[in-house]
Amino acid sequence: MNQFIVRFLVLIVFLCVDLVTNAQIADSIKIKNAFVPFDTIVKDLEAKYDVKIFYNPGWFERKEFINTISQMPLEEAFSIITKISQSTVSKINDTYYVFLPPSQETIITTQNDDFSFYEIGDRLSYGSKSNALVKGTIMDASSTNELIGAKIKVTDLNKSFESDYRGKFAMQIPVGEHELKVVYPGFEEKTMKIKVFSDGNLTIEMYLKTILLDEVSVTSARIDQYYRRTKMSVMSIDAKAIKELPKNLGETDIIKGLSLMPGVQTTGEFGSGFNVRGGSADQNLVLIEDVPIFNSSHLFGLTSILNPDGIAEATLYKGGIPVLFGERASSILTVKMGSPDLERVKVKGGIGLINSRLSLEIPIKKKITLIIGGRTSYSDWMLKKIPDADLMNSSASFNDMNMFLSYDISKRDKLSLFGYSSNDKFSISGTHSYGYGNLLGSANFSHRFNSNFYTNITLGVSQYNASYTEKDTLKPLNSYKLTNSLLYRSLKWNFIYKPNEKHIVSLGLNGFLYNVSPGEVTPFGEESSVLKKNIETENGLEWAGFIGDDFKVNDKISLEFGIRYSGFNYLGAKKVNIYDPRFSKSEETIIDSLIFKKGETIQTWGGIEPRFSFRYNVNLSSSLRFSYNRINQYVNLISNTAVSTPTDLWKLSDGFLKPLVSDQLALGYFKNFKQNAYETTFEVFYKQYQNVTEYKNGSQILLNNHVETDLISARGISFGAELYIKKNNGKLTGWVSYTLSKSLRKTTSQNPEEQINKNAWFSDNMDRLHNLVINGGYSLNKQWKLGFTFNYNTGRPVSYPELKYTMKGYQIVYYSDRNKYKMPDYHKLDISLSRYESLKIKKKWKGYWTISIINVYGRKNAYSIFYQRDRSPFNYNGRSALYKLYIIGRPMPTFTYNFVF
Amino acid sequence: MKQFLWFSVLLCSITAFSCKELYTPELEDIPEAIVIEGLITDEYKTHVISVTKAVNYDTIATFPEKGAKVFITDNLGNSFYFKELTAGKYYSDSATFKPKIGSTYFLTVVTKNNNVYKSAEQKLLPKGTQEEISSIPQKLKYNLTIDGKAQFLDLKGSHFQTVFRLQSETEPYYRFSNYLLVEYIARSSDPPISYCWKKYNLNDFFNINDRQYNSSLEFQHDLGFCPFDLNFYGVVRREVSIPGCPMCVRIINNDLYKYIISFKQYHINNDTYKYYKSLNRQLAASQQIFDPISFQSYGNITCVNDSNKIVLGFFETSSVNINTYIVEPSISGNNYTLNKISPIDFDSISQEGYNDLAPPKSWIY
Repeated sequence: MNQFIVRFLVLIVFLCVDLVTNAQIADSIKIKNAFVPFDTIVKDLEAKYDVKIFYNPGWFERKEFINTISQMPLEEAFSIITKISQSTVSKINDTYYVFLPPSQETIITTQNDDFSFYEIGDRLSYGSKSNALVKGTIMDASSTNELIGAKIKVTDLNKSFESDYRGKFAMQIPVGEHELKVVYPGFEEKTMKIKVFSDGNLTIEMYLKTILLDEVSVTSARIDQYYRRTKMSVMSIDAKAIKELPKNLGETDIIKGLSLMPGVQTTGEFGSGFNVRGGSADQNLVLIEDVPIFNSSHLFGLTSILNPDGIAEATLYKGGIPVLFGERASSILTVKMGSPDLERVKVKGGIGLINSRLSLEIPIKKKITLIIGGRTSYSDWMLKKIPDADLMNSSASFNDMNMFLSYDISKRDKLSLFGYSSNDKFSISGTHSYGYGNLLGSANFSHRFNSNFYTNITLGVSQYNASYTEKDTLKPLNSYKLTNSLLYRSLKWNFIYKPNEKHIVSLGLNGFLYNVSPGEVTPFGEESSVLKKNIETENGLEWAGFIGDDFKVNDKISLEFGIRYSGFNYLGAKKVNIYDPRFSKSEETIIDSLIFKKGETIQTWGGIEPRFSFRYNVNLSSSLRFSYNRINQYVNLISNTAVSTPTDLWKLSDGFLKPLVSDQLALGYFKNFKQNAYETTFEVFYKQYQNVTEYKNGSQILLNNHVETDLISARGISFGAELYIKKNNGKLTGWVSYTLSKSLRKTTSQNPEEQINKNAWFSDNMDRLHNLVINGGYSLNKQWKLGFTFNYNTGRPVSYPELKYTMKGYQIVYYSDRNKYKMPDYHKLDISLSRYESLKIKKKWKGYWTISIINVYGRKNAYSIFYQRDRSPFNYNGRSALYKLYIIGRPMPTFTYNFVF
Repeated sequence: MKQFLWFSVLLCSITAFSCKELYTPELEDIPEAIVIEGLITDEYKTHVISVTKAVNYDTIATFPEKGAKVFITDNLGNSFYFKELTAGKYYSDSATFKPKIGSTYFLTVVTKNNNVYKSAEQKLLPKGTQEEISSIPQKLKYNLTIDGKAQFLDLKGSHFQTVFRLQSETEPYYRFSNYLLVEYIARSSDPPISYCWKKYNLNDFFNINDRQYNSSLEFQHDLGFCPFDLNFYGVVRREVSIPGCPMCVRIINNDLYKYIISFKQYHINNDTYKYYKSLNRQLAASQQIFDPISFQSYGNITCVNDSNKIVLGFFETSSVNINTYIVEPSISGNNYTLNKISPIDFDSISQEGYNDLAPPKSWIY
């Protein structure tokens, strides 16, 4: 271990100590002028004995010491200092020493050539008690995930302990020195010595067997990990890493942050959701505490729906999706709430230009953790200041609230409850209003039968409501309100069984119930002559059973394989049209209809979803990985707009719309350099879709009782290569991500009405050949950090008008083949400067502010290119033109202040 | 659905960073297309078929297809030839071609380069039930930004509507068109009197009845809002430059004379309804980010000798009911009375014009 790493480690220790202990310093000692500050003593001692002494200057800032101390032998000098200051000193090695406050209960990690050595508790209390309680967490060093059921053996006592479902353990053992052996299937056995002075905490980090222990230095393990290394095509961000993500409008945004990773894209500054490896936004399952959210964006994508405070971990699976998950064809994003090791009440918040947020984290009797948070925007008042009639009467706002409660019922049982609510409103000119909201809830119960067998039951509910109101003052007769909604309920019962160290078997049963209300239109206002109309609701039951095994064959090879079978029942009550098979489906070709009763099965779909992952460790720092997965998706977002809208409809698979089936192959090579200072991954993927939903020319989605007549089934493929290089430490950290990919679609019908571009392959809406992200952070010093993000994307596919003509006085345009052209390329540079709380400040209040400049060189990136008619009153055949809309066309400064206390 | 664009404008206004600007794409491999627009009705009049070439999106000029052979064939095998009286416009002989309700027709166009275009057969449906047209006086808020200041103007006018009483859910489709003619007299010193007119269309889209929204057996159908406001039409006292004399200005005092409004109710078949509906989706889509994916709208005409040729436009056959009214404001100006008059051939009246000293022939008294 080199000196730099040790320094870094010690610095981290100081930071942690300062944060968690709120050390109380003894009264200052009044000494005459012959005494010198502690700094002087330290400098003298370091010079005399060629050592390095670490300490928090805040603990000694009002203390003075007689200067003869520095002339004493080192140990004697330390003895006097510790008595005067009531501190303790710990020897790291022959060169490094660390001063600690007296109430210190955290660990000091020491490492020698043979094994780890830890001191636990307060040295001054040594001997006051015969036994001490050592608590802590066992975690995966690479992902910081807690390891459930890891065994700790105190070899000299011949006693064994085990981590619980949160990865936590507690040992009542005699004070003094002990040797521990920690084992967990798939991970390197860890041997460590501890010296217990009193009660204290211990965090044990375990390393995968595929990586040699000596290659994973303590330093690299402590650096925030963006990339989970246990699987391929997976990105995991923990609470610490979330804070380090590039800021979106001055605020951390998990989804925007993930979109900077290879294979993930968004439509730009706006645009709901995100796209993974050529899939559409509805092919991503966003699970918050195991319950899906159906619109993951606030303000049409300006910011994501996830409040960063209170989130413990977010993991995105782009490929090699575990057998545990299904439902959506492209990716799974899981978000876990929580606040690990919460010792006291914490308040977190932030004040930004668009919105502010606040959250409370409350520990209750050490068994309950409660997190309550919320955000609200405040843009309305600004609109009123704008001298424009439309904007003065406009509004745009959102709010959300979340609650998470974790209750440790016993050592074997745990219950967690989660609730979330969000609302978005947007109105322009007071005439056109959008509104949408999510309501989520889940209850999760975990039980450990024994050290090898666990179960987990989750009940979830998610409701999405959207509305659109048109109340044009010039057309009061036509004013209406349109609503649609989706209600989702789930039950998941999963088991994990570990028969031995080579196998981790997972199995479970899942059920999901959908109730979709595709639309209801009601008159808006007294003058409206619009008649109330309902589109029949849709009901469906999706169910799945799975079994899989994580099998470690040997040190070189490991496998994950499993089978998931999913089925879907499309249920009544419903009137189902029968079409003349000789013609394309249309209103005119309906020849009969069938009536199904409530709960009656109208159509059944199902299929096997194999999952397979393979890892081969080429050597100690590199591995080759391969994965395959198939997923069936039975619910699709029906949208014939290039950009997802809040009022897009969710549509269940029925007798006409077959389930979307996605098969993905991925191959990756992973290599770390310089003791994990650099991580590199290279992956290639190929995805194939069956039954992709496309749209007929001029299709009507809203309020269509026979929407199947406007939909076309298509094939799709996506393929590409992703390169990711990350620098983990040093003053300059960051990553480079590059994706080269194609995403194509193709209709196959012989009927011209059901063809797009005459059945030729055409670009999907998110087909972008190049995607480059360069993200970095440069620490100017302990307080100041400079960040930058450069993003380059090939322009999105688009159809332009190629010809124009006049029909009955109206100018009509003839568009090119679908997605024949590309919008101009997108590129942007954002920079930020953050100032963090001084390490010397002892206040509980910790804050940092960030000033960002978005789009430094002011490129006018096209968000949309659209055709606009001249709509002067009563002049409907005027010239029309194409316009480019850009969201942020000049350098835009933002400011955010974040705090915690 | 509309105006997500405004949301962007909204944000841009907050931040003054976002905006829209004209964009000229680099187009490539632009195809050629012919545009055929034909409408025959049961009216006793000269019918017109227009044949032009579609022009590149960024081109202003129009290119009529001259010298084509245009004829309509009925279900009895009779062909009726149209004459090209103006470039690209082909006129029927009203003496020989009198479309009959219940008959089917198809259109044939043979261009100079021997491409043959044929329409699908279209049946001329019977006239639809003529329902009464009513007007509802309304004062609407009209928001304008003038000189950078937000202004809400009260705009007086009437909503015109008709009530349908359908017999079943398979009742016919209709297309409605309208003309508003504003006639007024301008008085000045020289000439002392001018007879002026302006013609408007109240709809910014093809006005068709949409059964998607109206499934009950009785519903109101909006025909358009007609402002009765002098300011709105610019019919106010003003100074006017005299053409050819840059220094000469005359003061004109305008007297509003009358509003004449005409509604046509076309009984259209399913093909026609679907065509106009598809065009409406494009017309309604303008100015929106949440617009539907743009698409190619084709009509009922194809090229017989080359199926790859792009043919735009439509051949429509429909029967028509016409209602024409003079709008008389009440003394208070708050109500309006519709006095029905004989149908007027609005097609022959230009969009805007004036006649000094004496009223034109088309003047409505």
